[in-house]
Amino acid sequence: MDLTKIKNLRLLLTAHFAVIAWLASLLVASGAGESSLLLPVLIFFCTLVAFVFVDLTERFELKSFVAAIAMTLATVAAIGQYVYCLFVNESEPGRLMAVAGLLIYPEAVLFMQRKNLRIFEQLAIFLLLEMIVAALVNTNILFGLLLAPIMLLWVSALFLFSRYSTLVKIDPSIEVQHPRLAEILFKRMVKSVLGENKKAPLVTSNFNASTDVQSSRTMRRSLQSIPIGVGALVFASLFFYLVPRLGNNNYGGAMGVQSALGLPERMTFGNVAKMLENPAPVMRVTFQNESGSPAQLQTPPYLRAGLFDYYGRSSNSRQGSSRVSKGEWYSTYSLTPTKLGGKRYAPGRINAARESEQKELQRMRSHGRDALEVQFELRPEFKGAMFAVPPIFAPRQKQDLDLSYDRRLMLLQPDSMNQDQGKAVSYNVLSAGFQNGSQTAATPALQPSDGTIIRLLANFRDFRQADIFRQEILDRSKIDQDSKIGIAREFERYLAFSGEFSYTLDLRAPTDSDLDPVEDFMINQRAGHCQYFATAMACLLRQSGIPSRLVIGYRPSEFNTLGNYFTVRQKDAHAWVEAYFTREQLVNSIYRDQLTDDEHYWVRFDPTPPPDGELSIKEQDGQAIDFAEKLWQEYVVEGQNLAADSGIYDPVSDSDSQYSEMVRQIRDFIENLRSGNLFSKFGFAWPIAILTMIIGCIALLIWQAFMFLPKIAPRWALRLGIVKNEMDLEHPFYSKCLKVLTRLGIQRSPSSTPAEFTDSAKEVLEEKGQSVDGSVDFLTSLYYRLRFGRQESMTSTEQSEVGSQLSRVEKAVEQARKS
Amino acid sequence: MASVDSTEEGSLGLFRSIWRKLKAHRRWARARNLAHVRFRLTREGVHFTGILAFIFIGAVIREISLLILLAGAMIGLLILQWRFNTSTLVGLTVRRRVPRSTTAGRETEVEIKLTNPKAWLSAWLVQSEDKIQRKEPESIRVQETGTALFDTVRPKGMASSNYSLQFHERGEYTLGPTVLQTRFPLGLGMGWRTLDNSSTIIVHPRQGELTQKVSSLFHLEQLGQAKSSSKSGNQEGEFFGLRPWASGDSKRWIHWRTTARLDKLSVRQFEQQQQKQITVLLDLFDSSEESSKEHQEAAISFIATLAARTVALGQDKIAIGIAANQSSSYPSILSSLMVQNVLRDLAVANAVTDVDFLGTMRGLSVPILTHPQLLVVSTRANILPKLQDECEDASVERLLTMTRVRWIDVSSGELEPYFQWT
Repeated sequence: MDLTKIKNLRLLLTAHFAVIAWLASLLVASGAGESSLLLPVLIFFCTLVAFVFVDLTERFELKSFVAAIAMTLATVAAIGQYVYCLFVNESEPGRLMAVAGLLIYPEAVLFMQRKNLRIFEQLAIFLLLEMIVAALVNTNILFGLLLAPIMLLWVSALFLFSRYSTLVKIDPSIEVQHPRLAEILFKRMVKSVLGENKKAPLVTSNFNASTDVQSSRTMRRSLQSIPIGVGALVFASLFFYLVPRLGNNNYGGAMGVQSALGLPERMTFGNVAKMLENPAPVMRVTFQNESGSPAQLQTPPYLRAGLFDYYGRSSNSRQGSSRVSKGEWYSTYSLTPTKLGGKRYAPGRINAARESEQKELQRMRSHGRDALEVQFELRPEFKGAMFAVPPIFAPRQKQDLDLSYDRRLMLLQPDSMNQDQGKAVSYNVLSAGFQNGSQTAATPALQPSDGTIIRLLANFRDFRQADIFRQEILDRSKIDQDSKIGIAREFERYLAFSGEFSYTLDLRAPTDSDLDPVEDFMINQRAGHCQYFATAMACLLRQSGIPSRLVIGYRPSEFNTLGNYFTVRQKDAHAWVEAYFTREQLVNSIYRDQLTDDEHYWVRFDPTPPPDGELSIKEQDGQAIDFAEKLWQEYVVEGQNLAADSGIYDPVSDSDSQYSEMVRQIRDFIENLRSGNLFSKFGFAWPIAILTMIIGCIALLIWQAFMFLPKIAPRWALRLGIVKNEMDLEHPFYSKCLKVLTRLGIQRSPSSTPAEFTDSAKEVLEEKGQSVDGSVDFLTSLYYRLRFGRQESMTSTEQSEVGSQLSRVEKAVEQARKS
Repeated sequence: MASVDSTEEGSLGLFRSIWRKLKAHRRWARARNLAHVRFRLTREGVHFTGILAFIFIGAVIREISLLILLAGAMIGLLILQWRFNTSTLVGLTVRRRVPRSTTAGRETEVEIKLTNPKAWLSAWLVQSEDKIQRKEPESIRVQETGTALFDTVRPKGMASSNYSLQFHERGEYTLGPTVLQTRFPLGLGMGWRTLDNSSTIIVHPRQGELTQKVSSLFHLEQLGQAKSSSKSGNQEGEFFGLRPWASGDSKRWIHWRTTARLDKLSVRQFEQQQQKQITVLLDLFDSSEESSKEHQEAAISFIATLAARTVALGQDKIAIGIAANQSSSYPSILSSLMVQNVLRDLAVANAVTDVDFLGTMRGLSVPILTHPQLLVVSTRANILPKLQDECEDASVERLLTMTRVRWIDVSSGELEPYFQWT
């Protein structure tokens, strides 16, 4: 064969594996949560060096022994990294990177070796495992985008591999063999027992390889790879589609995702500023009308997540058992939620709670409120709160995630708090907080208790500078001092639109350290972010006797017109104020159209001036990619749209169809498996199962012991009849001779050769006065000829001779025994 | 009694017919089974499937969508591999072109023609593997294989490839059945199909070089006919026929028209008025000595060389008897076709202990009666006296008595002066 062509084939295959290794390491690194470029850079460098110096110019290579050491070191390094991340660093992404390293470091070593079939096989296995790690850690669309090219590369590489392996199988001499430890042991241990076939071949065959066979034409390979790769992807899609999902939102989640985003539990001016500088996406929010069409909102929505009612006035303020620092908002509420929509409801069943919710919604509708279905899709990195746009109700269709709602605080939370790490959360709620495409500021509420009212008026009484500032505002304005709603609106207008205050994230040191930060903001700084404005507003309201609280959430403005959803980023986090009013106080205000027949309302005030003068809904930049990412998450990674009862399964999942039956059976099977009741219906008893397993294990052990006995105790193995001397089996006449001689107590030890044994047997017989020199010698020499020589079988003369010689030996032995 | 017998015969016949049908069905099932395209995973495929199982179990337990997607793609590749393997091999036919005979030690080319009858699917990277085993003399050695590889066979097309064989020992060899196999496209699995297309090739004994002394050996044999051996180079005699050219032939004897037609040098052979009669008997006795096999081969090779050379030169008459496991006698070998027959018999001759020496000699009685000289090439010492003593057949005894026998014992090295053989 033309070795140049074979080398080209190897080079091409190496190049394929190198590119796959780059892409796979890129996927692993980009999905592991930590932006570590070490592994992709390492593998890129190693493959490049290996390709040029090991494979192309053949100037350097790692020998087997060095490679084994390097491999061991690489493994130890990766395991060390894993242990460090497990016990010291406690970083899951770090652990995953260690696992990736466990694959990538050995890959680098393999690339540095002279390639042969085994090296290629090992590389393929490592690369496949790396793809698994990539699938575990990388849930972003990069995986989806790279899947097709990687698949085509794999197919093309396997094309080359099949050609190469075929040629190697026909003519193993075309490549350099690296002897492996297992092979060496096999040769040493097994072949020494079996013996090698040293007989010359009757015929030798020469393979005449044509040039076409030895090289792979790129164009043809590409043309063949594309349909096969695409076919595999189509199959994968179908398979993915048809694999039954056992419930909504069961699939998904990447390993190693750390919760890096979210709202703070304690609101300080510093951490809010940090949050507002982070452009990382947090969630997507979709608003739909009852008809299912996208709702057209006029202004950016307020997504409510948390409440704060206590403001820390000094550095040692205490609230219950908690220490609240100066300028920090703290929540003293405890949630008393009820299940949204009552207990899990099933279609067609009467559910009192749900019925009551539906009546309430109907009441809202009768007052001109729109009922919009709001879908929240929280990213896996997001940790913490659930969002609401109050007043909210259970969605039309049941969902996997059970939600509870505190109607007093208008806060939402999941029923079970054990949200999986790295798993995205998606949920829907019905909201009656909209009217004519705009979110209403006034929200009907339950009457707060007196204690709550007192608490919502506290904290700012002794802020004298603030009080003077408040009086100045009120004095400057010509509003009715008795109209609380008018006062509140004036504060909001003054802070947001008077021009005396500006929005900034560039926080400066307090001008007057004796003042509270919020007083300093109102009197001196007059620039800050939303928390300053909201706190100032709350301060002014409370000083004016209006119960108020700080609300935290998001106010997104980026709208994706392709998917009709808002993309919410961390920098969209926002704080605003809610103030409590009665119907009577609002009936003559601009909020009268938003009122229902309820008596109590929370009215939202947003005193923060818009950063760019005006905050309006704008089209998202690069929305196509974001939309693709959304589809990837929904249909592939999270799979919430692939639940068995999803609409897309309608073509195959009629209630009577085989598919539905299969889904039911699999669901039952998995449930039973998980609950440990799989075999209960067959009268399965665990004690018997354990006993059977123990007996099975013991039997296996005994069998293994029997298998190993010939190696550790060959005499015992022979005595027990576990093994028979292979030579005896092959040549019964010699076996018979040995058997005859055992009558005299002459036994051949496993370590003695037949010739040595013959000599010792002759001596014993001579001692007993019998001479069988010729016979034993004949039998032994014939045995040697047949066993080790070129002679394949006995001639007829030999056959007749063997019989007579054996009988001679037998007679001699009998006589020796008698004597 | 008669009725009982007939009942027994009837039931026995029924059993026999059922048994025959069962056997026929078994044969048919076996043939069909062999012709089916089989599929198995290669070592790489086993690794691949192991990882696939790992992924799938992981995907189900951890409920990770991307792993399901990955598993789906891998299953897809496996299914494509299986479909391609099986579809490619279905319907492929193989025609093997192999010479009827060859000589041990000479390289022999075997041409394989692969035909793809399918209308749309090409066959890629198809490997044709012929099992090669010696049938006669029987051998239990491991089979060898002859392999040819085809890059592409287009739909409704044909491709040819070849492999070369070098037989080291004489005999009758079986080539086939052919196993067609392919790992295309991904090497994860291998499809194979066995074709029932065995053929045989006779491997003639390796020929050596006759030394100058061999002519003296026959000269002595021809004492009494000394006149007949005189032959002038220019006196060709009457035209007898055509034969292939052999070393030593005069250029003037070349028959150019036939040479042009056959593309092979042919010479005219002339009727020799006075030819030597060479009568040789090969006595292939198995002496069960270690060097016995080598002696047998030397003796066989000598006879083969002698027959081929004598007929090629066309000067002398030769008669050959082979006393081995199957005895045969050729009283008059005149053409290369007859030489081929002799070589065939020599190729499969096997030494035995009960050689039918006298029977073989009786087969040569015609040339012996004409020229009562016999050259015996044997693997043992002269046994004629013993044979004469034991002979009970009067005609054979007379034959033995009247024949002047020259006995060459190969095991004693008596052949070495006359024949060089490696």
